Amino acid sequence: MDEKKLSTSTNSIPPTPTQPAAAQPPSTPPPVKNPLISRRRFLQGAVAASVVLAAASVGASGQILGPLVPIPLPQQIIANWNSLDGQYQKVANDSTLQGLYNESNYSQFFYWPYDSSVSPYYKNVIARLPNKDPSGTPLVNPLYPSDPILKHVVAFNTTCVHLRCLVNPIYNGTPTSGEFRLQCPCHGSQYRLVDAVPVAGPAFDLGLNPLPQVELSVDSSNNIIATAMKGTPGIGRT
Amino acid sequence: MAAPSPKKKGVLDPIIALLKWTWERLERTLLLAVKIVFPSRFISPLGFLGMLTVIVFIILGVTGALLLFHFTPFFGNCPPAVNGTAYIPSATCNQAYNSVQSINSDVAWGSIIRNIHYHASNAMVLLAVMHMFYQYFGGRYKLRYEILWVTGIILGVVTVIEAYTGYDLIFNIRGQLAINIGQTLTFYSPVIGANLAQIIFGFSFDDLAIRFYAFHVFIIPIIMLAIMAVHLPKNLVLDIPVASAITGVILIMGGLFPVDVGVKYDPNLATQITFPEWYFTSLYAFIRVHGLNPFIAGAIIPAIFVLIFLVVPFFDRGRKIAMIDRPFWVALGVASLGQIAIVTVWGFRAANPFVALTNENQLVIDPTLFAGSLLIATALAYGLVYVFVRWRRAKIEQLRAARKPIPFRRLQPYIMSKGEVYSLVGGLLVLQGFLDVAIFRALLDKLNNFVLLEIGMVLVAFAATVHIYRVANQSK
Repeated sequence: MDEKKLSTSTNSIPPTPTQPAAAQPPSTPPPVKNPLISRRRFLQGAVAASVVLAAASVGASGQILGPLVPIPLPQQIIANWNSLDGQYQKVANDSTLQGLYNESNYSQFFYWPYDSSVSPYYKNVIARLPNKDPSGTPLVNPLYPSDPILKHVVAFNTTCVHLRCLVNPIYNGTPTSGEFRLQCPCHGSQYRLVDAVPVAGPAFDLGLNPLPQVELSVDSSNNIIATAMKGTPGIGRT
Repeated sequence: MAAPSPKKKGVLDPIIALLKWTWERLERTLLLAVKIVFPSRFISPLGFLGMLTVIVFIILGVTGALLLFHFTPFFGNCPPAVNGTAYIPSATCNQAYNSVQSINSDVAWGSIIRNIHYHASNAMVLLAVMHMFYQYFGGRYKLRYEILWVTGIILGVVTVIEAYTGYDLIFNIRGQLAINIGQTLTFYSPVIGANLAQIIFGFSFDDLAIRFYAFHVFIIPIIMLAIMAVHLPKNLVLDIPVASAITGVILIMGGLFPVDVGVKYDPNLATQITFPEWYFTSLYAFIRVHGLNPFIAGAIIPAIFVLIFLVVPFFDRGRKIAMIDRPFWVALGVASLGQIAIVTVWGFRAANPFVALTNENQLVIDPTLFAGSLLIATALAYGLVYVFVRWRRAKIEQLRAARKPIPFRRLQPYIMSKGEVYSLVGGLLVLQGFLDVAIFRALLDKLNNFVLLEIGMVLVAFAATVHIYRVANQSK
């Protein structure tokens, strides 16, 4: 700033008769020396710059508007394979298979990586995938196709990527021909239970992202542990 | 003329002197810079709808301040069912809703104040929209009214945002639907979307509650006051009877249609079909259209609509303000009114607008039907009004050319006789007395809706009394 002031203030010194003007032929009046920038302009500019700098000094104060983001939970046991599978086997071995159309027989909810006191948008569902669809397609979690336990388990965030209602596992269609899905109760978006890709409703029509997926691991006593979430609730897995 | 009669010294003289002293000194303040005219004869309230909006704003401020004493801006914790057992909602789940429920059922005068607050909010949105359209058709957006018009449109948008933050605070499923949609639209807005969403909605639901509380009770009202400082004209008309009647009507509506708390939002229970408030069903209809991106439907389309109104004064450059001279703009106004009506009603209805919405399979609206009916209605309204205004202008010009008087329907004021005045005023006074006793009885029996209804009726009776006084004085 000071340097600039020095250099321009020399320019704004009014011309004196001893300046190069004197070298001109005497018939023409001495030309008024046009400084690069007039004194008034310079001062105005300096004040304007000062205003901008002063405003910039507090610009970062906008950060106070940001929310306090809680520390996410560490890797956590969210279910036990034995109880999840036991519940499933109890109804799956029933020849009528009617029990499987009740989602509470193969799925349960959990909150992760933030607990239920933080936000409903972190509500997730974990499901013991039925071995196969009534159509005969085997259901396997594509993330872990060879893991003996995790190929039967999927976990997804339940926040619908259309308008953020919370989806629920359902069975879509008549018992003999249909698909296990996640359905949004608000506007009817449906996602495949295997990979949570939209297959019907507004989320499908608009080509929105699949639901965020919870990555899993298993410990020695068959506890299922949530290790990471792929994607953002309400935005989906990109 | 005659010699001034010696004035008797009255008891009130010192008080009058004090008032005069105060008044003279107040003239040095800003307070008396605004000229408020109290009309001595009846004028159409359509001309001062803006002032009525201000009055409703004040009612909202007072009732809102009272509600602050009992509202908890806190969501709390809603843990899911423990595996294998039935879900028992936690007592700390959705404390904001719980506090609204206790205001409605336990707090003395709570339901009355909340009812007034709710119906006044609806009245404010309605009055603001009516005010805008009246000024629009009156051409009061040009001839140096441009700043008033632009600030008015902005104020209208801010008013609707204020109403939005208000009904979300209840955290019922209706508020939750609005929060979900608002958050989605903000998240999907380009570049700054995610940051903006965190600033507006916070991270947790407790953040959301306290943020919307701050927006609703302080930040947005302050913004509204600031815009009002630019929007209010220097000369205001305040008609006490009409203001009283409007207040009375709000209270009567509160008594007749008491607002409930709605279904509690609990993330662990399946939600039900619900609707936004009536000033948002239009956006809801757009959002429900098949294949229309929510951000375009809920943000871009309404923004374009508002923008059209915002720039009207810069396109209507004519110097004439009479409706008859502005067929294009009048037709445009009627067409926009028609569109607002159609989409607002459709937001409440199933995909087929003649059927009530009962299950989620009827939610998605067919775009061809939707856009088609909007286009046809707009074209029809526009064409008919345009043709009508042109025809009317041609007729008036014909009359002018033939030097015939242009027919006006002038309402002859009805002159009341002395007996009529006395019996009407007397009857109204008796009615007010009766109602006051009835209010007292209703209060004793805790019949809050009756209290509200009867206070409203007293206010309307007061308005009628003052109006008759005014008319009788005039026709002397």
